[in-house]
Amino acid sequence: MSTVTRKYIPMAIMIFIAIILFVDYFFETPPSYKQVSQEVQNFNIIIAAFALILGNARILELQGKKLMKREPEQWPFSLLMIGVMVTVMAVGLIFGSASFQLNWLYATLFQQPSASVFSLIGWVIFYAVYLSFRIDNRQMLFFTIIWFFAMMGNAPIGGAIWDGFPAIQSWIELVPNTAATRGYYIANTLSATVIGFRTLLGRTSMGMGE
Amino acid sequence: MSLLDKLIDIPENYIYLILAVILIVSTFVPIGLPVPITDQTRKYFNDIEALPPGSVILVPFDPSPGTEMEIGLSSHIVMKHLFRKDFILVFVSISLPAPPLFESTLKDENLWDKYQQYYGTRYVWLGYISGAETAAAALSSSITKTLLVDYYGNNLKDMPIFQNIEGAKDFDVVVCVNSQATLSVSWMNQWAVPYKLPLYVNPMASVAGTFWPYIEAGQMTAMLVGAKAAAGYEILYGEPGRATSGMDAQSLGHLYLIALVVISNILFQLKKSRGRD
Repeated sequence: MSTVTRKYIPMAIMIFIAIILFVDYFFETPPSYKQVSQEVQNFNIIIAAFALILGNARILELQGKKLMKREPEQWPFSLLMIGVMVTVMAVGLIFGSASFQLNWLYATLFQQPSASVFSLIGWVIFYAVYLSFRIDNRQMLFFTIIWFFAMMGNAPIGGAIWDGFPAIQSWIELVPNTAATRGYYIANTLSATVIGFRTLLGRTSMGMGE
Repeated sequence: MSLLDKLIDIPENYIYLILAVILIVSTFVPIGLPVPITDQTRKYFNDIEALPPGSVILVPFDPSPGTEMEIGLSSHIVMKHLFRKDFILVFVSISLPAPPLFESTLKDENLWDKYQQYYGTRYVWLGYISGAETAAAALSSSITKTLLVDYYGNNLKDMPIFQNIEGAKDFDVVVCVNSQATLSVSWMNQWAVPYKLPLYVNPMASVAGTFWPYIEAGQMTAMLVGAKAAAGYEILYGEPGRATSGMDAQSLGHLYLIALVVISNILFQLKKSRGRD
């Protein structure tokens, strides 16, 4: 495949689409232009939906290979995964996405285990805090004091023990936390803006043609 | 190994066992510890309460099962509040795990049967749309040009609700029920800021800190942070429920953790001083 096909045509499409959306977001445009912008965005939604299908196909391919090769300690999980994926997809296609059958599968296969696994994180963090918050130097002392006030301010009982806990926690969130986060966001956004302009000017290939 | 070493390195099983006992007992035998209501929770509730009947509200509904005890709790009470006021509600999701939770939330709160007759006139559920922030952008221009049918396959153009609603310019408020911070930011970028709409968000307590710059800048209006704020909202709404009943467990769990850290540090300093001797 030539460089033109691999690199320049995709770049031209990307720049064209970026300009359409950029102008629509920042300027007042006539309805006909808005219609074009809307179609471009709709096209993106359709591509994203196809990407989901592609992702599923790729998972099936990868797990299928592991299953065919009978990879030790792996193939039973691959079999389970393929089985669950195919079952859920089949139920969704046959009965519909809003069906009782699909909702039942979701609630039993995904919802409860997902909530259970997520709640385990809390327990792990609990023990991690116990192990790691040992004051060994001045930095750790400072960190533990901040943690203590932030946690007592966040805990429902903190305010009942002393009014000052929520006030101090609020100050920590509003002043040092906001200052640091705002700086991070501004730097991040400026970087994204620079990348956006470089893309618009064709100065970055975003990995295309490599 | 000395007794001190054993106490410092107490096996995690014992710590978990005591935590489990504390959580179970405080859940089943509530002691009614106070639940403070933050200014953000009060503002969120008062603003929704003050909206006139007929206000058009977009509700990006993107909780996930894993965050049930944070986002789930706040989404339940906020949904109940939104439905009981005479608002026009458009629900949509840009997160894959969310759609089945919509129906279960309404059913859990006895809203499903009660408001079924108003489907298409007072509320509509658009379901999941792929594309994340691009989907939010497309919907802001025109909902009916982005989607032809709702989650149940009904034609949007046939619904009375869409006779007067086209895109973000026709909405009054956005109320985000999201488990991921980035999703709330997508709605802020594409709806709240360009169309100057008040934006209310329900983040998890662990990510709420990242939202303060947006609140301070006025890009987000108020936030309901985690289970504690959900409990405060339940109290303001006058119907203490699941969130309120979990607050004793949360308070005692926090106190237990602080006690553990204090004890662990006392033992650690003792060990260090003995080491020096």
